[in-house]
Amino acid sequence: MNKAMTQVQWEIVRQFRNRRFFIFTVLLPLFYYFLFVKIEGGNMRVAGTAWKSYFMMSMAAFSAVGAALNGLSYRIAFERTQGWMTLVRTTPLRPVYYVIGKVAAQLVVSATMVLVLFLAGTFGEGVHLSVAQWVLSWLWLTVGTIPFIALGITIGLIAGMEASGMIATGIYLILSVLGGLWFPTAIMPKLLQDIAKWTPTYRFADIAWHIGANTDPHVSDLAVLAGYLVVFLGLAQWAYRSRREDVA
Amino acid sequence: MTATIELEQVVKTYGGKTAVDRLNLTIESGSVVALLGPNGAGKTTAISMMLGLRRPTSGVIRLLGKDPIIPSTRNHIGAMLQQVNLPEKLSVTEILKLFQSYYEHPLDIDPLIQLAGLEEERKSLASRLSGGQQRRLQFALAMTGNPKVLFLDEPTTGMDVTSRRLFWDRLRALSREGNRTIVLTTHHLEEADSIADRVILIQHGRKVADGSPAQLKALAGFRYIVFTAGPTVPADHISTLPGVKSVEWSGRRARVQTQDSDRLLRLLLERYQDLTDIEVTSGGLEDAFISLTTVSDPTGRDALPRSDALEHPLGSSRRGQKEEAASQ
Repeated sequence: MNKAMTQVQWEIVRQFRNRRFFIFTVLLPLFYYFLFVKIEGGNMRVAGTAWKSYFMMSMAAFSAVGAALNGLSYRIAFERTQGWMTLVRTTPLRPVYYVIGKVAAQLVVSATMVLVLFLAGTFGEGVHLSVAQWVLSWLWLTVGTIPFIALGITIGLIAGMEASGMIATGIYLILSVLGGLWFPTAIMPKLLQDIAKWTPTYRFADIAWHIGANTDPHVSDLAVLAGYLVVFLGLAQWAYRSRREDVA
Repeated sequence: MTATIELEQVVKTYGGKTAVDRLNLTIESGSVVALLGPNGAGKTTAISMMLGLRRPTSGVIRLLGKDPIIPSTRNHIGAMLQQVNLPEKLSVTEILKLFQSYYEHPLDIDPLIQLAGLEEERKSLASRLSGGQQRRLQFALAMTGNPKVLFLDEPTTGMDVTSRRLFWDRLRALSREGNRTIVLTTHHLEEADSIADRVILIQHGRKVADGSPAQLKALAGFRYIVFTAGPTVPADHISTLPGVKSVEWSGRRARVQTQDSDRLLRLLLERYQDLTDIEVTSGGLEDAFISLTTVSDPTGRDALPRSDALEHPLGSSRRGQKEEAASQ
């Protein structure tokens, strides 16, 4: 257990020392949050709740997805192509613990990011939610990043060091815009709304929006996300098998 | 003595190319073994198979009596591989702590840092270290689990001459303590000669010679008579004398290769008055290496010509300089 904690600890340290990560997943969501709440007015009603609460969930999701995609894919690509993974394979560490260490660290990072946005919402804009709503949405926005962590790992396994950063950031921004994290899907044209419903980002945030609005989330949200998780895990496994040399 | 590593008829092919060809090997515990050979001889492939990083196409490998891929075996081994870049954003101490968490009975941080000679750099980011310093940190990583078997794949690549000698000293000290087995690959003959008590010469994936550095030198069977020839000595005639294998000239200084130095020396002294500063040597490992790798090629087609051999596998000084420059 101690050993697992050590790995998680240094993984988190690496994440937070990464400047790109800090800009994209900490500063950018905070900046957008305050900017758009200021522009639109925090008490505008969106999907049955206040804009400042709705958009806090959007930006928390944006931040958590970014944490899963941005730093992780690059670290995996680096460790895979620069011989580090091979060196670790000569140690007694079992590959499954290597993966678990990375996923656990990423969950801690996601939880922290969401907390930062929640604090900004509460103290910066005066968002009011019940304790149950806070806890549930916090837990969901943390655990719900698992499909995106799987996607981050997949990108790192497929792409090289340079490419993984660009691909991850590209996918991140496109999914965020299409999934309605930047602008609510309600103001999108019909075609884009239909597309949004198929993005994992929309499904991920939709559950948080429902918790924020105190309405029941759709089962289809979970189903679509689970589908994505299966696809990403399959891709990750395929990439791992095809990219490694003939190993044990 | 017990066998730490055993290879039985090990073959490894990549897409029709044979990298390792029916290799049989038993390495006793406590020995320091150098796998020596030109680049592309199959040394790294052999060591990766011993480490369980690659599976042999056929044949059996046992490490500490077991299959190398078993995690419990890996608690007792350490490896320094080629082409490893250390994770970014972590300091020397932090990487060592991370590595400690992988092992059941790791060594403490301080002795490891001492071993790497990185006392001043313990708080520096590992990715910012010079090439030679990174190699030394990788050596400390290999030692983290206090291994019974230490694998070093071209360990001194990227080190300058001073670091290299320091590294050899540390390695010799390490091999004496405990019953540690050390297996290293190298194309530096000096490295094999100075630290290994057994040298296994590999070429085209095959073992072409196996023995102590002294045995290998003797195995080549050549001695060298070196002298300065005065103006009255006809240079052309020397190479035609009976028993002369080859002659190298640098100015008036001749280096004559022969299998029977006693007889040739008598002959030389009888015929020529004007020979001075005469020495008889058994040659270095370098000479043994060249003669063994050249003779042993079965096809004879890509037998290394002498000059090529000097530049290619033995180009240590030249390569060393380049690497040093790159690491600064």
